Amino acid sequence: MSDFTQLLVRQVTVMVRLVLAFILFFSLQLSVQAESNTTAGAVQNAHLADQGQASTSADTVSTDPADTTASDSLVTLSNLNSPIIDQANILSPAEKQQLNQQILQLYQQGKAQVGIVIVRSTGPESIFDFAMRVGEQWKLGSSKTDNGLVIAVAVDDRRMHIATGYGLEGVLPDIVIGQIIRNQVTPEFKQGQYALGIQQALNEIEQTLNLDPQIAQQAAADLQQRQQQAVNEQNAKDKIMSTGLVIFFIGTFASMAVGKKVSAATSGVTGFAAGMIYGSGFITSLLVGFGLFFLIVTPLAQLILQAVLSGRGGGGGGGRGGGSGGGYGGGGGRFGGGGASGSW
Amino acid sequence: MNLIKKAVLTMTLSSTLIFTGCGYNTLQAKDEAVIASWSEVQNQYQRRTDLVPNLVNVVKGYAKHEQTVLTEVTAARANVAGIKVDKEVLEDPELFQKYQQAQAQMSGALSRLLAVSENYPDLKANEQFRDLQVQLEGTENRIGVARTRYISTVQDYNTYVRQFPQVMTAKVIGMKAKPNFQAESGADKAPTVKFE
Repeated sequence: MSDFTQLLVRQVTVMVRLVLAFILFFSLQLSVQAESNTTAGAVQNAHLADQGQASTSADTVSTDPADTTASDSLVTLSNLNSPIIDQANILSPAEKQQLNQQILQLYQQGKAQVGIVIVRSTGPESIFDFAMRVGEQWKLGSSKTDNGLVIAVAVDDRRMHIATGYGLEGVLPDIVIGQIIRNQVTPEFKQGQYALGIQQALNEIEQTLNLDPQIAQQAAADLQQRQQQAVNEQNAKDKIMSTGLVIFFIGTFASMAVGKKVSAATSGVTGFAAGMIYGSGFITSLLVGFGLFFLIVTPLAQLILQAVLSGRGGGGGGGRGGGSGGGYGGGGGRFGGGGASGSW
Repeated sequence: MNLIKKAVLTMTLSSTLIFTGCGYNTLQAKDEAVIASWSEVQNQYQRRTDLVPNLVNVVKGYAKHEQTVLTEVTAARANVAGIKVDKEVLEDPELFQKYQQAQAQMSGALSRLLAVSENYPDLKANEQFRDLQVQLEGTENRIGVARTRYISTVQDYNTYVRQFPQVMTAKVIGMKAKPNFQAESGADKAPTVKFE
């Protein structure tokens, strides 16, 4: 009788450990995949935008009227998750969608990363300071080409500013921006045609950018590199996972021969080194290394191995979690004060 | 043999420790950052100086009677151009002060010029004048940004230089705290508005 209960208890503990081991292992794999999803965001973004979904899904901005009407505190900025942030609610959803498309197209071509912020008033800040703050906070544009562009509009102040990143100052000098504001934007704004004014500005900017051969060349190279990088990282992560698995099995067998601690430490370091060599990022490599170490140093590894060997290892082909890559993040572009202001 | 090995090892280790521990390397890096941000400030001031002759010429065509303002701007420009600045200005607070004053004088003269030009509708409508105005405004904006960045870089450097133990290293290699911008005289007083 007591023999039987003992057996039962042992069985149950083994089961619990097995489950724990699997959870640990798959959570590790999942976390690695999640990370690779975010880095491959550039490519996924393109897909999203092609379907025209980015604009509708990413358009959740907290509009706190208290923030925009306060006269002596700075306007708080929400995080950038959509190319257009309209705190003054002057654009209709359809207009927004259209502008979004235009901006995303420019972004995907790698020509410029445009951000539009519309507020009621900038408070005590000048429109220029506000636009610069937006540019610096969101870091629009890629860190290599600094091709960010901020269009800031303060409706009640009747002022606007277009700020160009360092990389766009040459193609879009202040004079050109000034002329666009003077001739294309403010005449429309005067009549309350905000969307039309912004659209015309975007058209004009797009045209100017298209005319510049250097920008086109740079954009093509940039785009290619972005895709290449995303693909590389994806490959590296796939590779590290399979290598991790191999190391795991070898380490487990070795732990029977040379002892757990030695084997665990060796496989941990090997896993980390493999990750670094494949170029899958420091954190991922560290995760893999530690994961391997813990799996082997605890009795979990042998249990898993036992389970797999005895044919009970469930075919857990973890489906890829389809995390939508956040939308529209700044790439680290810098601003130096280029651009022009206007009022209407 | 063993002794030599040990000595070499100790020397390498201790020299690494000394150089990083006393902040020599960081001092150099921060010093370089200050110089870089200073060149940006200087660059933008230069850009403004280059714009002035064009602006003066355009305004002259429309506002011949505003001789005082025009000569003031030209004089301020000559004054600014006369001060030779390179990175040595960072080691010389007096020269730095002088440079800053000259640029402030220039800012004042330019703003008066723009204020005066408000009185000439023809001038205000002139496309070239508008472009120049946009350029000038952009340059002033860039000056503002460059100055802000310079101020924070210098602040970082100065804080570091005055802290122990770097302060001793800095003394030995002759690095001093660098001059920073102060609010321009009068900037702290609200402007008075007169209605006539």
